[in-house]
Amino acid sequence: MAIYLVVFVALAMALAYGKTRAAPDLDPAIERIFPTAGSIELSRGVYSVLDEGGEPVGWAAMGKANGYGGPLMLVVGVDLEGEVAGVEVVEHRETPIFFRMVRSAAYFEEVAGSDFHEVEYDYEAVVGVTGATRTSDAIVASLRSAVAEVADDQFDVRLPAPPRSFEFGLLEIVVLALFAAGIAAHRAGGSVRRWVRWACQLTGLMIIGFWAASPISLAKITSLLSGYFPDIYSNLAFYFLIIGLVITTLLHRRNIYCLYVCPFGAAQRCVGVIGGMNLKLSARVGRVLESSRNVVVFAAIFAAFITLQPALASYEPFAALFALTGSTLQWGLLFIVLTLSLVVRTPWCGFLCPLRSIEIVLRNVGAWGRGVLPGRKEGARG
Amino acid sequence: MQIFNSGFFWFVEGILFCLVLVGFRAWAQGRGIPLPAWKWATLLLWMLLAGFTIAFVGTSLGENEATAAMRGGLLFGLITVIAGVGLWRLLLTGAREA
Amino acid sequence: MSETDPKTGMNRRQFLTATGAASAVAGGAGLGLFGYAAGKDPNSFLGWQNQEGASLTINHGPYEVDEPTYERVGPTSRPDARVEQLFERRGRFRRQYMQVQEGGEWEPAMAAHYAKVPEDLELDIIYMNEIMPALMKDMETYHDQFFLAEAWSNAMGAVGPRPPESPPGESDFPRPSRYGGFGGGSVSEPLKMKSPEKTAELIKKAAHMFGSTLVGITALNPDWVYGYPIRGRGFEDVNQPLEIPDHWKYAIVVGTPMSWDALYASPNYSTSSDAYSRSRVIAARMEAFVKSLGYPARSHFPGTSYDLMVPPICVDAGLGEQGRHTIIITPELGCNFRPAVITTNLEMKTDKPIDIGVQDFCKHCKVCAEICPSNAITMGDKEEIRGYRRYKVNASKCNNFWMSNLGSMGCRLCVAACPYTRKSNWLHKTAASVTMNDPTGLSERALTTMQKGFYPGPEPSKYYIPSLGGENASYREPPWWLKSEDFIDFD
Repeated sequence: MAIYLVVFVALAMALAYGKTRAAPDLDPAIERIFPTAGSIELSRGVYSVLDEGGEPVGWAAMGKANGYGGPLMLVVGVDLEGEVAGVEVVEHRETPIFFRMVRSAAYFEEVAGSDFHEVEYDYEAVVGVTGATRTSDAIVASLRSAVAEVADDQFDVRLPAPPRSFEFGLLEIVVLALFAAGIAAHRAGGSVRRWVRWACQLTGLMIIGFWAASPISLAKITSLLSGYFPDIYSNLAFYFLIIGLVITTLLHRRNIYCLYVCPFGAAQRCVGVIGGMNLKLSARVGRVLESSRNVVVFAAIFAAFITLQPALASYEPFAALFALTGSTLQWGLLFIVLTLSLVVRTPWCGFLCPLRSIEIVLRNVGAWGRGVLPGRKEGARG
Repeated sequence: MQIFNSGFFWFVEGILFCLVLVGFRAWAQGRGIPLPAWKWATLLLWMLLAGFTIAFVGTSLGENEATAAMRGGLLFGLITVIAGVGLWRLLLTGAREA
Repeated sequence: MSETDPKTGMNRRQFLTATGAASAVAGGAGLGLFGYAAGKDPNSFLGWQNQEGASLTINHGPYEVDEPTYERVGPTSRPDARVEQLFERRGRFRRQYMQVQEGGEWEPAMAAHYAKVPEDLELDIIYMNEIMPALMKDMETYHDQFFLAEAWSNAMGAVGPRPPESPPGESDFPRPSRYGGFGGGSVSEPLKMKSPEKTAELIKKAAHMFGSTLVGITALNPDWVYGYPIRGRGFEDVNQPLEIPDHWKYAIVVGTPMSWDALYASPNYSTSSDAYSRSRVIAARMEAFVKSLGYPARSHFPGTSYDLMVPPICVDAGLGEQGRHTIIITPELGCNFRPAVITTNLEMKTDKPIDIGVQDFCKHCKVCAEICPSNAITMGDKEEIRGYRRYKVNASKCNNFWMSNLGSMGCRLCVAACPYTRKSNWLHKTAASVTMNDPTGLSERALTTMQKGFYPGPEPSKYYIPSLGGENASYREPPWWLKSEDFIDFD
């Protein structure tokens, strides 16, 4: 447990460092929105703007979304009457001319002066451009989140959620079905378990793998941990996968995701069947590989936290196999791992997969939780 | 390089192909491995796959598409290796003890 | 079973096995070298070899359909070229912008257009006030790097016929030559042709002999003719609607590809002017040839000398289909095809349009929309434009990026990145014929995924010049003959 403490503290510090380093200085932008600003105070994500005499003049908040070239960050100022005082883009990685071409200036002018209730979030309608772009989507999304923050904090108004509906399709159905089948089969045991597992894994390989190319990856977990939540409306399946992984690990002590759902695990097993061998590694080699994996996972998360770039953490070759994209490292890993799968049983799962490290942490936490919770002590050894 | 686009090249390639088949048959007989038609068919398919992989890498390099050569080579190479191992096990079926 | 050879120490079986193994290694290596040679083969640069045309490489027969693959969905109208033809509008903009700034007015057609599409005015102003100054600045800085690209482009574009100097009623008709039988036709009235089939055969052979890689013939759909003419085409008053002359009955489409390896180095190293120039020359020769038979003919050619829209005519003539980027995708050349059109009333057998599956392909692929640095190509669906459903390209955005580039100027990234625009070798021809013949669409998805995974290019924003926030990136390395620094001692 002591080692966990050290790991958690180190990661928390890395994240805190990354966050402070990445936090931009918003004061100049806020001063452009409120020319009379004297002092600016930050509390709970909202900046209170006071004039020279200490009288409040308005509030400001930051909004962030992913644009064409990377994160796009803007500041919205709202005055005491609840009117949008101005919008300033703080940081964007769009090509300048590209940014001009989407005519954000015209949109911001249109937004300024309207009551925060009545901000028009339809970029295309306001600016008169057709064809949504990632940049204009990012502008609207970050504007909305900034306005919502001020409204919630200062006016105690929950702005209506964007008029969107959950995207519930084949992928979501398959994910839920696989978890359900996996839990049931795991209880049943025996040959039922064996056959259901194959059926589940092959389905996962085809649908979650080749069709949707969206297995759980370290990048996604890191980005969750560092506070970037993917849009839940369009990423339901991802949340199902994460929740399924965590809950089944905590409750069952067996991880249904890895056993029944993960497409890469399925790919390795298929190759293993073709290879028809099961070389056993010596326990000592296995232990060395496992601990080096833990170190790699720790380093990857650490690096991602410090730089706040979750993509850095991703060393898994999933994208190379399922979407044919990825770095040279990932392509090389893919080749090595799947070739190894011919002779060693699921080498990725055993010695390389970051989920394995996370699963061990979760399982230990779960066991500890069951130990602490009253009345569950007997049940803990199942 | 132009020789490799010529009819003569394919003539030589055809001879080599036949030699491979003859050699394979000799090897299999020596091991006492029976060679029914389906084994020949899968072997030919695999040779097509392996040949495609090699030619894909060569063509991509010739086109200055190094990324395509590397990624395509790894992907198709992986498929070739896995299929090759599977085929190997199939080929050995029915072998009598030497 | 068999005796051992004393020299090699092998029996017959072992010898055969060893020979087979050696042959496998040699044969495999041979295939690799074959691939390398095929990848390097200059003959895979289709369109530059012979006078038979590339149409011989793919039989259009199985893909012929009765109706073109664009859809007619409503009442149609002809475009007002004065403001809807980008070059024409930009020309007017340049001439009028100063006056307007000093208190003058836009001429009525321009004022009406800007009122209808205010975005075009803003983009025109960005072009004038931001892009041109930035380009001038970077031209100085990067002069040496792109010197040869510019020189090639200038040289390639140096040859070409002049646009017509009088209206169609005059310029299109053959003028018997002063000297009798030579130069420009001597017959005073149209020759009687044996049959439209034979005429079409002759015209197509002529097109290939003049250097055309592809050729197609169609009846001219009047919807494709500009509603108003553009400047420099011999019309007396460009503010008078363009009356379609009776003798614009058929359209002959000719054209050639751009130099392939320069194209892949788009935007800054490639040039349009090589194909422009060759297509212009072919069109002029075809015009003279038809006139020599005693029939009226008028050529419409690149870069800017047209009375009509060319892409839909290419579709009608069976050369290909219109893609997401609105460029024609031909089975032979992909979208690396720069056409010219000759209108005439010489009776010819027309070609049928073809369906090679482009409409399905473009729905999913979107490679061009993803790479387009100006965001001009839509990621969305087709729209109704003047009565026809097709993808809409924002020409103003496109041209703003086009005009901002160094070297030979222009972009052509969508042409270079299109999965159909690949060399004519075993690999890409096989891939193309698989998609063209697979009705399930599965191979399209697989090949598109491979295209994106195996052939990545720089991020869209990197293609801009440094003054506009980019890195002067090109899609692929320029060919050796475009690298100025290897030939010229600038110090």
